[in-house]
Amino acid sequence: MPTKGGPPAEPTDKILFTANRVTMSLTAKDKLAVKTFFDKVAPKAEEIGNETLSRTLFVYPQTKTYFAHWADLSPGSPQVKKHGLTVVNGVLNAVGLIDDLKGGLLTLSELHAFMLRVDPANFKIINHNLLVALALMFPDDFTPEVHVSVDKFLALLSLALSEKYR
Amino acid sequence: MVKWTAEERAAIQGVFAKLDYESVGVESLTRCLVVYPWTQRYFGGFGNLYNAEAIMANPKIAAHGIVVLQGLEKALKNMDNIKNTFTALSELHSEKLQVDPGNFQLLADCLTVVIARRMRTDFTPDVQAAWQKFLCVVISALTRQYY
Repeated sequence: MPTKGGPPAEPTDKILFTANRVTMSLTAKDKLAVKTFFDKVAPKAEEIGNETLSRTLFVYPQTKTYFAHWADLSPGSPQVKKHGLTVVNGVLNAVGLIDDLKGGLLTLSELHAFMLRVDPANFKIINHNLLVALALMFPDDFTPEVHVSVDKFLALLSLALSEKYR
Repeated sequence: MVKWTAEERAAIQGVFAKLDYESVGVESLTRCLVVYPWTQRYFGGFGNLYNAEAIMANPKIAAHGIVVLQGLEKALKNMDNIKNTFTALSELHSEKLQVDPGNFQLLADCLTVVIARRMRTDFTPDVQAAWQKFLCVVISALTRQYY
């Protein structure tokens, strides 16, 4: 076959390694752990949302750049509470879409990609603060086993949200 | 040179005052090894790491948890000079233990989750911010001697 111009092909094992690191898929056990845990979390969605977003904005001030149009970015402000709930409801909705996150979150991905244009690095930041909020509000339920399943789920959720970026 | 406000110092000292090194150490390491299983590569000689229960009950992990927290305490006691305080530790992690520095962030995140779990609403955003800054400085110091 004649060789064409263009960037050199990446070694296959490097591509596979990268892909595996990012798309560790959910086992049946993970899905059950996530669904069971978030069933308990759902009634406290507002509090969890407030803690998550408040901490994201306060502990990682660079995230405030996406909310410069808000009057009050301090922890617990009305806008932070409202938007925190929006975010957590999004996560709860994604639990229901756990068997097809990419397909189910296409529209939300388009929103984040084309309208909001949130740098995907920030998904890791908000995920970490969601874990902190879950740990402090559900200390007994957030066991190491639940922690790993939720962490995997959030990573895949973030990946689905990044789908339409480029 | 890292600048700490009086509030930040107080917040970080407050976290340590409430820390039970034994239980926090083992739980943080356990979560790290369970949530990020590839980190187990550094603990080949530690025996049974098969599941969370086994890791929590593993005496070598328990001992090592305390070692890690004592290391952090050293940073606390030398908050204005963490960089130089950790020169030898950084060399150790780089040359002898050969730990990928990316793992420091993973353990730090697990430690934060464990502290949040125990301190609950006492782990306010202010305290979390100071604590996060402290961990960033520690990780930077630990990474410094890598080449």
